Amino acid sequence: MTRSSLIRRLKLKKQQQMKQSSKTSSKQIEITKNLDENIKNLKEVLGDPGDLIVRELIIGGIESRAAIIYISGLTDENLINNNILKAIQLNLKEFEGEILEKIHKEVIAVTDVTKAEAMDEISFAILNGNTALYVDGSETVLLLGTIGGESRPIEAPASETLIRGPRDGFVESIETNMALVRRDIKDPNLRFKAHAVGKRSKQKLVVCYLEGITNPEIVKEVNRRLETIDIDYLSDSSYVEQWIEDSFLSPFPQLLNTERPDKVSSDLMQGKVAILVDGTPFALLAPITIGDSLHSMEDYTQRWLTASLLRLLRYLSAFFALFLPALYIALVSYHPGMLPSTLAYSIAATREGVPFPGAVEAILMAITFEILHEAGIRLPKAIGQTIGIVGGLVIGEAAVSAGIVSPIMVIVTALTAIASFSVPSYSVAITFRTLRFAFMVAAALLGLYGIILVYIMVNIHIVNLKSIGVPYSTPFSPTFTKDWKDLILRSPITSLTERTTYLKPKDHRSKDIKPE
Amino acid sequence: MSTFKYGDEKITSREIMIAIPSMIIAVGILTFPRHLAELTVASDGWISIIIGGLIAILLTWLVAKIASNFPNQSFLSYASTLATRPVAIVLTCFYVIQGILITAFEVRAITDISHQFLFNETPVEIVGLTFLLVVVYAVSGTRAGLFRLNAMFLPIIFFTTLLLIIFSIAFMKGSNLLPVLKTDLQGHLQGTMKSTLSYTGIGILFFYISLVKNPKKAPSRAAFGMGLVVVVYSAIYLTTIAVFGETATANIRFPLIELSKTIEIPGGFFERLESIFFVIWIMAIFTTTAMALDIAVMALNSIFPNANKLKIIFLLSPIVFFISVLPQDFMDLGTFGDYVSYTGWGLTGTTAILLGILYKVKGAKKRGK
Amino acid sequence: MVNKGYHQLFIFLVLTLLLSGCWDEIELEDRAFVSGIGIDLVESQGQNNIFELTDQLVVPAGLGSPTELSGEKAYRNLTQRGDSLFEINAKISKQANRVLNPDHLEVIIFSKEVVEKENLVADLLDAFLRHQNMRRGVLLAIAEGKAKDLLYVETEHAKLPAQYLSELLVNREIPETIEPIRIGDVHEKILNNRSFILPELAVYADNSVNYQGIAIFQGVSKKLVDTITGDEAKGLNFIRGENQEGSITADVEGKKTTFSVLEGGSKIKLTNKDKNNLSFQVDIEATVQIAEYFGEIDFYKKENKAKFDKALKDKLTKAAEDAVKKVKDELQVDVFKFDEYLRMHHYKLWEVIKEDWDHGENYFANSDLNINVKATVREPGNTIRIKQDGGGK
Repeated sequence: MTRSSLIRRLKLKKQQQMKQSSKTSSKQIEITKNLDENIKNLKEVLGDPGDLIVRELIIGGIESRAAIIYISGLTDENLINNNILKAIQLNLKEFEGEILEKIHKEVIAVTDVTKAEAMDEISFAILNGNTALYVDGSETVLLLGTIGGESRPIEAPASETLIRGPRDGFVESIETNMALVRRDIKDPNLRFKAHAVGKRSKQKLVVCYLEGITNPEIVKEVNRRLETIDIDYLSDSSYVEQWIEDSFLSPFPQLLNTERPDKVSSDLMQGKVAILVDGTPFALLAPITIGDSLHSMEDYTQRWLTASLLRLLRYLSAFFALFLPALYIALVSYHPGMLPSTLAYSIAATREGVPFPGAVEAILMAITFEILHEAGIRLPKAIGQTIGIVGGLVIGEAAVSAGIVSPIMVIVTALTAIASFSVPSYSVAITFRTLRFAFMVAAALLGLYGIILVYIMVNIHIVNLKSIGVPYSTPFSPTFTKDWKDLILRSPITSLTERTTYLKPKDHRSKDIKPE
Repeated sequence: MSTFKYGDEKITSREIMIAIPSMIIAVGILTFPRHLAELTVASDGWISIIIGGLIAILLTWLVAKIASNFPNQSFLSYASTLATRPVAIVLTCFYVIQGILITAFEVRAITDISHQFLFNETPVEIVGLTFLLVVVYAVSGTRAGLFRLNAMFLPIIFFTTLLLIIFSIAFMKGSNLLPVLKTDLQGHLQGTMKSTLSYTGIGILFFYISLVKNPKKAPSRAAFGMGLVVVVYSAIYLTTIAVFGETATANIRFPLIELSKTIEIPGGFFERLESIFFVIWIMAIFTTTAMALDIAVMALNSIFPNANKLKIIFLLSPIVFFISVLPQDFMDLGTFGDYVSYTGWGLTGTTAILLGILYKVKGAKKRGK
Repeated sequence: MVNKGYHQLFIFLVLTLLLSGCWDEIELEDRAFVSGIGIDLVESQGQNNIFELTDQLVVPAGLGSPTELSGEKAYRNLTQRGDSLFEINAKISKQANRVLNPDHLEVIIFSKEVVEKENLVADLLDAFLRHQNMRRGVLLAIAEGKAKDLLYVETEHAKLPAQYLSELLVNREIPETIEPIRIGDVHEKILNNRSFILPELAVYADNSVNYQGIAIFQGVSKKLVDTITGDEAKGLNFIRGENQEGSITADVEGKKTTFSVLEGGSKIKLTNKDKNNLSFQVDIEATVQIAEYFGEIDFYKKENKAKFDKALKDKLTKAAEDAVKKVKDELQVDVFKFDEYLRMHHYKLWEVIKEDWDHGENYFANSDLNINVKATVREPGNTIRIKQDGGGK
């Protein structure tokens, strides 16, 4: 508590300073009645960029000058041509009264129209993809909602694939993402609380929750933390995650990221909060606990027995991913008595002539694997395949025949690698991979005793860790036995009648089916 | 609807229930079958365990009852109300000393046993120091975290113990358990005395109950927790006797570790599991040690409320380490352990009876007025 | 309040630094696993005995892998002499280039000479029970000749002689053998001064070892008194109860018949509780199937079946009586587990007589034993008859 509060105090202090400095920097440019002057001013503010389109036109009947200004690429040009330009030129033959009002009320066929009088507002709107309509002789400017332009279509999420389940994934546009969530939850209580983050990028960030389900304390805390964000630009929601998490020293992710709208929707129903950030397909979910890290949406689309078995499998592979190389080191270097005699002899036989002790061998292989993994991700897809072949050859064949590692080590490395990929969340898998090295070092130094001491240390860390104020070790401890129905096993859907209790939702029952 | 509060240092009575077995099950679990088998015939030791356990349950209940009459009050404050402040301070000091002694004993015991089974060359100081440092790391975290840690570890400990018993079935000989009820009264008495030694650590309730939000249920929950310990002890005792027979049990230094050495899982990846079982018992011993140190810290903190918790920890840990290296050999260590257990019982018993009587007297006075 | 995160980090770092050590790290391939131990007596003068200890060390490379079997020897036997086992073992390590490790010890063989000395076997077992890497599951056996020789017997099935020996001890198909005896079992017997038995092995031919019989140890003196073999061993086994397997051969109307035991066991009952006239009733039960029959009687005739039953019963009674004669009357050592029975079911009586059970007053030898056999032939096997009577009729 003390640490996080200190950091937050520092952040707040800094932010206040920044706010003051940003106020002084903004210049006040007046909108005049002169069209040319206005255009000139606008160009000055934006630095006369090449993609700024200024289309001057003369309104038919009264010969009044006007201009449409927008940035190409951000706008829906069809809309501008058909619903604005054509409408003004064709329909505005004769008129009476205030010209701007008439254009606003009668002529233009665009739904989102606002009036603006401040330069800041206008430039921000144009940069967002809106179109500004200037009319000579008017100090008011019409901002027309023409946001559009090229964006990625909705595709299946690349980082979390399912056999069965919805195929849509979030995209970079926050409007689309919000729409995807709305499409899942047609509840009037679905709330989107907007924040603007990024001091210069002015990105939209939305806190999404269900009024009447989510505990208001959580929402309040999330909003409070989001307000402390002070950063120029967020290329991804991970900036938000790293800014608002409870302990930045922890290897464990304290917010979960997902590309799946269905995951967001079902977690919202449990009483969690989602954070959507413009410009990234990754939504954040909070609060999360250690149990969430091994859950996948697949668990709910499969039948309960299959799902439960799959989950057990995942727990097993998490165990492998964490402990297998460390156990190998401990058994080979410290406790040979634990292996069955025949296995001990055959490992000893294969290790004859390997120049390194078990620990060095294991760490060497683990690092080799991590390098391969990293290279495989960074390389273009076409070359990525060669990495697989090279890696397979290097690890599988050459290292063994060169006598650098023993064949059993290759099996251990391979099993560990596969196991760590079966952890559904990539950020959790990375945590496990990191901790694995800690366990390996401990095993190399003190054998099983070292492993158990590090395990105890990791546990101490977890019980002291919190995610948005919720202990990370729930529902194991503090124990919420009701939540165990959907923890290690996944009981039948019909029996999951209550929302996650550790989140203390305001509305407990999620189904009206009585358990009896 | 309860408000959303996790960050506080409050616990529930369920966590008290978990804390009791976590505190009680420690190094004693590895050796107690030997002490009992020396004194009783065949499997009769279970009677001693149960009688000793009943006494322990009674004391647990009494301690929890006294403490829960003063919800959210520290031991120092309610002891002062009942038996003047100087007495309370002296009692608290005793608990500080006891906490330090238990911690030191457990650290030393884990060092010796690890050295017996896991290491040959590694210096004992390193083994003890690493363990103590992990304990310090745990205690310097939040107190609620310590209770969560108990809840994480206890099921693992129970589960492994159950597993050990199940795997032992193949090696059990029913004949070892017979005859039943042949121990004389003397044997039972001595056995009960010995078995009560394995139930040390009830004193923590004087301190931890004050953290419980609503301690009404705490006495029964704590007693239930103690009941769990009695069940585990009886099961372990019967298993060791059934596998080794009473005479061999009496002559094996750590019957429980020997038990895990005996069982072999045919076809298993790990044929022999004693190291695995042993490291899991390290977890059990760890929770005890951490709580003992925490009690010492908490008691000191109640006397010096302005002192920084971390400073107290860093002050106490060298003392603990120093005491832990004092015993010369295993004989010394055994005496040390017995001494710690006896004083633990003495201290807790005295405090409970003293405060219990004073509470009755003062309560009666109040009612009289 | 200083911020705690950095404190935690600090402790974490200190821990990591302190965890540096590796004092005990010895790689698997740098250890020499002892798989079998043989103990022989070289010299004996009063209390001073000089032993010869043979450690069988595994050579893993010689074992080869499942895909390519190695042609090399898979073991290396090292022998040294001395007067304490631990010391000899230390001497052996002077010969070995690797660290000796007893974690995978499978079998310990004592030569007959060693165990014939009073108390010696108990003294020698001490080293094994005391060492923390030793397990109570290590098998024990007696060698008729030199224990060392057994550890040189290489077979086609097992490249490691010790592995061969331990598999041999576990493999029971004839009731002349006893269940494998673990070091832990003997520990209990020795602690209680009770008599016990051990299997006895001998080198049979060049590359095999034979299960000779059952070596009987007297509880108080803890020395070998005799070895029983053949029918006596069978009788002993049937009286001891325990799951019986294997075969028994009897004569049915002069023709040899071999029965294979399907189920067998015994029950002991104390019929007279006077300590000077103890009397036991042993009910042996055996259910068998015919394994081999040289005659031609039709098994399906009721009176014929009774003949088989009778033959089996007589055979078993005789075997048991032979065993009783040998063990109770001649050796006067209780390995029938009557002591266990008395302790379990007649504890008070047992407390009185246990000091003089099978020595001194020897209540055991003075007791009466009544054997009652119930034999049933359950199945004739796959065929009823394979030949007809002479053909003359």
